[in-house]
Amino acid sequence: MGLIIADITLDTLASIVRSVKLYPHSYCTLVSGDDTVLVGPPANPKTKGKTHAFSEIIDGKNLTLTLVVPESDMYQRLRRSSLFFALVALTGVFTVFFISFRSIQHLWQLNEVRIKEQHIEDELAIARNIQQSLLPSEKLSATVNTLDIKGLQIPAKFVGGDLYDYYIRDNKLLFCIGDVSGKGVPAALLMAIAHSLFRTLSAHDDRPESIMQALNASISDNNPDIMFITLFLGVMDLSTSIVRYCNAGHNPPIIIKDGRAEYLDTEPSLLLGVDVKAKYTADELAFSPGDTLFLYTDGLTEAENPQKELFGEQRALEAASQFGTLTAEKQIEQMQQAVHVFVNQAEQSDDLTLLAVRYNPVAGFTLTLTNDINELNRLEPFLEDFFNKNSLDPSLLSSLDLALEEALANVIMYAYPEGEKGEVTLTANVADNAICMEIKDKGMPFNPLQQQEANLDVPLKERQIGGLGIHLIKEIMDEVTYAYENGHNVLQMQLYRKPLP
Amino acid sequence: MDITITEEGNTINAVFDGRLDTVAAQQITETVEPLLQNAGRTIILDCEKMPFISSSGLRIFLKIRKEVEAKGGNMQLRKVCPEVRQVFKMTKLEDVFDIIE
Repeated sequence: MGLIIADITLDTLASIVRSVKLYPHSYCTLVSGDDTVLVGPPANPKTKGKTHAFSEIIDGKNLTLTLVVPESDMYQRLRRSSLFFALVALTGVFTVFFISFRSIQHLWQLNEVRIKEQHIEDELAIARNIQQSLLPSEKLSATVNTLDIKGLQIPAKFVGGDLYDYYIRDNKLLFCIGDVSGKGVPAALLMAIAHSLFRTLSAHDDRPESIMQALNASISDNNPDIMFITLFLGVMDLSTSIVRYCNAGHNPPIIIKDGRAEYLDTEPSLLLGVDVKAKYTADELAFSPGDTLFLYTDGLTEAENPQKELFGEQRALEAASQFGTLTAEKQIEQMQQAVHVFVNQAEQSDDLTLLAVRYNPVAGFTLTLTNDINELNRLEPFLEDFFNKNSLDPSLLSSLDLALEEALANVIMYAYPEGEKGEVTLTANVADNAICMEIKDKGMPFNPLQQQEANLDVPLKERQIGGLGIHLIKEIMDEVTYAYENGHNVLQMQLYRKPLP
Repeated sequence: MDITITEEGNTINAVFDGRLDTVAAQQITETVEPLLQNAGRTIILDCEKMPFISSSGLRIFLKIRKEVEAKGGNMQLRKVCPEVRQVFKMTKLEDVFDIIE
């Protein structure tokens, strides 16, 4: 066991201290406890600017060691790395900016195109609405018992070149269906012209051949693009149920009699728009109750399935043979369904228009009662039969029964003077969106709608007994109108057909 | 429309079977006479087999109710089908009648 004492000379210590170089331009000093400078700063210190000094008292020896470092040395490494990061960041920012600029530029251009497209789309949507608004009013068939008519139009594009129209004036039904050559906007424009010409020319003329002739003259007269129209035009006299028709190159319609469907044997005349001087002739067709004239455009027969096969006239005829006693609305639905199944997902390539004109077998839906209250017992079976034959929603039966019972009881009890025999006729009819009822009698002019209605908002004791019936009619039916026409009280009532759940 | 009336203690039970329409309402004016005479007691109108009521039918019900109020009895309608209940609703009579299941 020994003790080694190392004693080093002051000179050696000084040279050690001097040799400590923590930074390129740093130096150390050593000062003893009595302020004697043992190691001083170098003769010519290379420290410029600000310096930092770090001192440490060496325990037991009473010596102070001081390290002097120029600030530039201290932060040099740090500066170097921050410069590197700054550079990286700057490059990044630049790249991001460049990419964003390019994409914004693209977006800008894309947006401009998009706005233009949207604009065109909006205009086409408006055009479509206008075109749809040219289609005849759905309520027409509600006003004429003998007639059951329904049309459908599905343009292949926003707007189409098909047209159909019908209206009634002077107890005659004027109707037409047509197809303008081409598709889209140009066809739609000509379609709108043809439509308004049909309305104008048929306003004072009910001979289909002369309406057609005038239509052709107008359209051919100024037709620089040689667009043409195929048109089938008919006029049905509702009192004789004879249809006179004229066919300008249109697909022959299907006539359905007693459930048998066949193509109407017509010799088509020249298309509209080709020859100003073309002559047109009309043919006649006698309609019996239950008969249907089913019209269509080539969008039906030329509907294609994915295998590029056409629906064709034979398939159309077969579908029509299945119609039986269906209403016009159901016939349209069934034909649309048949073509839909055939086409099987393939895109619709042409406008599709269907129009069913059916002569209503009215006799089956008319009930005539004498003014004996017991006659009301015949109402419920009549309604049940009417509902069954028209496949109407049975949930509507009970309330309709009640409204009619109230209205008929009113007539039976009050319309004719005591002891006088009288009749009341109920005609039931199905329109596209409503069940229509008409009650007609030859009794004293009496508007039941002006009858004092029961005030239901007062306590029961103050209520008048009476007026409940008319209140129930108004409550149940969606529309009720009264008129006194040609010596008859006519009460028309409609119950809207809510869509089945 | 057939109406069967039975008595049980202080209660009179009237079963309405069939449509209470205009024709039926005229035919039953005499049949419901016992109900009016016993209006001081409890009268139950059983509507389970009555699928339809017209305004003249309502008038008969209201007539009985009026008599019951005058004579201090009470009247209840039993098992009213949804169609008839709907008519009560339209004429705001749903709360006027005491309807029980």
